[in-house]
Amino acid sequence: MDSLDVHVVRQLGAFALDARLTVAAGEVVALVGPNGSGKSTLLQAVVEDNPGVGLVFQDRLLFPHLNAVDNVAFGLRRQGMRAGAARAEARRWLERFGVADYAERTPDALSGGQAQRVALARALAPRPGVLLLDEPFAAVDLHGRAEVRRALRAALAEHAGACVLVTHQPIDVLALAGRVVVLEEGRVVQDGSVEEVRSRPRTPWVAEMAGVNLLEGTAGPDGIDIGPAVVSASSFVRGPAFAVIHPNSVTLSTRPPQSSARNVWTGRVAEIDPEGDRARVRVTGAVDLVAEVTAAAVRDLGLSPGVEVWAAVKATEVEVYPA
Amino acid sequence: MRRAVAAAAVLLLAASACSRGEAPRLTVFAAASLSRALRDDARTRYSFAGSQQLAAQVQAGAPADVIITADTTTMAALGPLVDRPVAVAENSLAIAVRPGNPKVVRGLADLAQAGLTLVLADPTVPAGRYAKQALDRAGVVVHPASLELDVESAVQKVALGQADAAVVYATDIVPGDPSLQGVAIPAAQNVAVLYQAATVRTTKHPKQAAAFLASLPARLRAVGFTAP
Amino acid sequence: MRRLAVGVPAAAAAALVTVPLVGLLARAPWRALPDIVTRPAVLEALWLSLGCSLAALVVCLALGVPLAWVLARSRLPGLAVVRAVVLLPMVLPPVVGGVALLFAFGRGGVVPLPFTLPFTTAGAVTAEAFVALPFLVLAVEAGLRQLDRRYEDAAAALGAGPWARFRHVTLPLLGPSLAAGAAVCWARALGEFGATITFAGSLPGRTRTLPLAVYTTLQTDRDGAIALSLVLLALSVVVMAGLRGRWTR
Repeated sequence: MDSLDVHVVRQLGAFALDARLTVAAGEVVALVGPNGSGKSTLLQAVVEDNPGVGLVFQDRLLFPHLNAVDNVAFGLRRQGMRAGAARAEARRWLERFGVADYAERTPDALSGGQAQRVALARALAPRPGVLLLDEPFAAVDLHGRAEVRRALRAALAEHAGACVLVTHQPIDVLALAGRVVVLEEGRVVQDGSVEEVRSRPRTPWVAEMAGVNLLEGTAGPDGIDIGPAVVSASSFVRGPAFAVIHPNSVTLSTRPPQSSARNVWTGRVAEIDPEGDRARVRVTGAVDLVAEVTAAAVRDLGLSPGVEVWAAVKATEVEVYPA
Repeated sequence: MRRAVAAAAVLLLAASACSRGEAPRLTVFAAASLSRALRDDARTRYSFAGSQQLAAQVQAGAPADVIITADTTTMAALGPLVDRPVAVAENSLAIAVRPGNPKVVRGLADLAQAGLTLVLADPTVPAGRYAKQALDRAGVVVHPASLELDVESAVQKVALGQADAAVVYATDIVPGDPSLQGVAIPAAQNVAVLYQAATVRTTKHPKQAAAFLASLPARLRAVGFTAP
Repeated sequence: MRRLAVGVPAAAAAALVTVPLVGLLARAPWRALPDIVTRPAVLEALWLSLGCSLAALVVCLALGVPLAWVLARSRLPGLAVVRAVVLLPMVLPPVVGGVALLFAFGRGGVVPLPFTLPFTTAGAVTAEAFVALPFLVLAVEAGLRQLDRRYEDAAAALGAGPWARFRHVTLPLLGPSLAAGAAVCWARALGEFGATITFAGSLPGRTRTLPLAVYTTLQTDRDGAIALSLVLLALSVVVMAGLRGRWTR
């Protein structure tokens, strides 16, 4: 079975998981979501319900009493392969991921990155139809991450079946996945291409991940009514809708702006997150927004938490899409 | 910390007070076969065990006032540690069987029958040695299932119904005991067991010990032992 | 001040155990030892003890590991009671245990058997297994509870069935606890006295294990008894030392 088409329903105490997951052969889907949304539970359930699924655990769970070779050979032995052949095959996999030098070491003698690569090899050696990876970069330091990413790319090149990658890091999503499935509180809230999810988030969490401002309301001829304000936008969408404003599109000033922007709101600076020569400024007011400005602008405007500001957004920079 | 020390001191005082006050209690080491004949009372405290074990304890310095053995060799071995021993009673051997005598044991010869579970005391213990003597005298070859550490245990095995017969002291068979029955051994095959009692030289109560010794023969005769 | 508060009791504890052993070694008849130890009666008791204690260990492993598994993994109601009962032999005076065994498996006992157990070597093994079982069950149950069950999940994800998971993951990871439990179990079985003599009696070559032989010999031959005690001591030291590596892993 190379593809995945499952509907998982689980009840764990007060937590209810009800999610559909479809992944075609050769497709890499990133499964993302806030902590506690049920991502690991979903993966575990897929393994339990379906044979021939390879899983790389968040905690790796390499068998502590076996060295790297025997860990990788484990699945092969269970498939009936004889010890000698299994260990030879295991060594080939270790070499593929650049950890052949650590073949005889036990897991406690491996670094995070090395152990992660051994875990990958272990999951892939039995040639599973579907591959599930639970936070493969967790517990790996910055240096090890590059190695793991390389190994992962090699692994995906080898693996012809479906692959689901649970991750927290946007970089991984961009680099490896074609599609993104967002899980929140046990339910799938968005399923689409990376571009689509980034540009048209459907929940605040996704918007946060994508780094954009998300507003929700009712769209009409004047724009989108989000309750405390009406955001001017040029769109033909009517009815329940989302509006996305990119932080770059938000201009800040300490005096009422003299621009053509149709959307002007007052507010106060709540937080400033410097990022190199730019900064993300969180503004609270009638409309809560994140603006991205230069560090110089922060200095020139004298922005700091509590300062009163005017935020302006052109109507043409507000993207509206149906909810 | 201080409270703990004070508590310990109080406990020690109390303990020593207990041993010092009142009338002195005699500590009597007595052969196991006397355990049913002699009981603890206000003036005497008994410790029952095999004669050899008692002698060993006395040699190691155990605080006994009087020792009563079931065999003269053991008493002799104590030598200068005790005053001159006195014969206080005699015992003989008998066969203990289960109530109703299901294996129909009439004498020592019957103990050799197949299918009969026989227990004896180990030959290193006086009762065991005597039993061996009796059996040899009767010319009987037996295959016991167990050589117990003392004659009491042998009696118990029969009383619990696990053994069919045991060669024990005549005094171990109490008339009216529902768990045991006795079969006599004729004098020609039997052994005379001589009980000797002696005061331990290091006793702190020589007068009480002497009085106790004097009272023994009558007491033992009253519970089935014969006169020495 | 704190060092004294800890050091003094610690030293006393060590002394409580060491001093009697030193006394034993000091009184040992070293010159006569080789002769005593090679006496037929002694060798007989030694082989019997080894055989019975190892047989008891096997019984305890065969019965105790599954029981520990149930206690650690099962969610059946009333397991707390089962555990309390299983641990009883640890606190029961051994002679009482022996009497209980008689009432259970002896003549006229609660459990009718087609063969006799009292006064037999099998009876000695039974008595030893009875007193030693709780030690094994305790250690193995604790080991199972400490085990990260996700390793078994990982094995399942790699295609291992229940038996394969037990053999290749659970058992190896249980290793240290199992070894420690087995060592204590065996040592307890080897040293058992009260239950053995009450249930199985004491007959040289059949049921007179080393501890029983020591007691009997003590009556007439103190040197012999000390020599036998040293044999027991040596046996225990050898096994404990051999397992020391696994224990501390």
